[in-house]
Amino acid sequence: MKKQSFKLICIAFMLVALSACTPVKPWQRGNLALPQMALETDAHEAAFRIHAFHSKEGSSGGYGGGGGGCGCN
Amino acid sequence: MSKTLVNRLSLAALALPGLIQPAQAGRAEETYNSDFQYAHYEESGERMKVDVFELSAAAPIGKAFSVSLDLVRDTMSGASPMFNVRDANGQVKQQISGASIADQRDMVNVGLNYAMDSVTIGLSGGVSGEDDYLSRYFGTNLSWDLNKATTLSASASYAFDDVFPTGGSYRKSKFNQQYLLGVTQVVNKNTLIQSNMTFGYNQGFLSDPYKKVFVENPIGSPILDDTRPDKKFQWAWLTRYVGHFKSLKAALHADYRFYVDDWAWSRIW
Repeated sequence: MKKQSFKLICIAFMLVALSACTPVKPWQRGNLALPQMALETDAHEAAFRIHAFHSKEGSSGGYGGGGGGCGCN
Repeated sequence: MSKTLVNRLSLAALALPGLIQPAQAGRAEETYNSDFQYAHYEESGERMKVDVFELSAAAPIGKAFSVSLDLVRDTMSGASPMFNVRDANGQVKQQISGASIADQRDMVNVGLNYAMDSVTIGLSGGVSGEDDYLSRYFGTNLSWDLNKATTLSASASYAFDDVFPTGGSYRKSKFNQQYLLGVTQVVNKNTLIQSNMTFGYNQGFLSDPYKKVFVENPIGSPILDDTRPDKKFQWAWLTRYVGHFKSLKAALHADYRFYVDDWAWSRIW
């Protein structure tokens, strides 16, 4: 089951990656500029979630540096 | 195009990858802004409760520079698991510390960004302090727009941490470094993809001073201190998709992160 879902994710990712990028003209960028299209729509909430992952799961990285360590247990 | 629209285009399309500064500085900060958040985190039973207060502000300086300031206060209380032990029936159960933990974390972070035509450089640093922990850190990041659709990013961050456990008589240190390489691609007028890779290396006292290990059939005491290796290499790969759906007037965000380290911990979510 776990292997299957991993395969599905890989296939989905490959499909997205393989679809050639379409050139986007400046006047076509309106949707990309919408607030909900920002990679971080709520930076505070994102920082809180990443901090909790670091503290509770022992994992970090991917989203970039920033923020100090803590003695959270 | 209005100036507001240009600002919003810059925010989304250039999208400064990989930065989790609470206030994203750079070209987005063409006006003064501030933001506040309160969050509450609570675990079941008598375990940890955390209240988080976060305040951030950012301001432009001239046309190319912007500064940001973030203040965070966490207040924590409750109990935490200390070790696993076998009860009279042979079942393994957690030994909890008792509702004895109370601490407060205060963090101050400052950032400075410099934006050129296609390159933005950022510097940031700060201090985070608790009753039994002190972290001093700084970092730098760079984002480079190769063209209108592709942005490369790189960052390096360093943290110098000290642990001085309550009730203990020692002070131990650790040094963490993390490096990021990433790319953000506008796939079409409704889709953005970002892929980041980070490499982390931690050195020093990586154990948890409040955790113990229960040993069956011990030689000596059955309860030992938590002792972990003094080096850890971490690798994380994040891929993010953001897609706009016109009929719903909404965006779908999907993140996939793979994490592995040389202590053989791995996470996928």
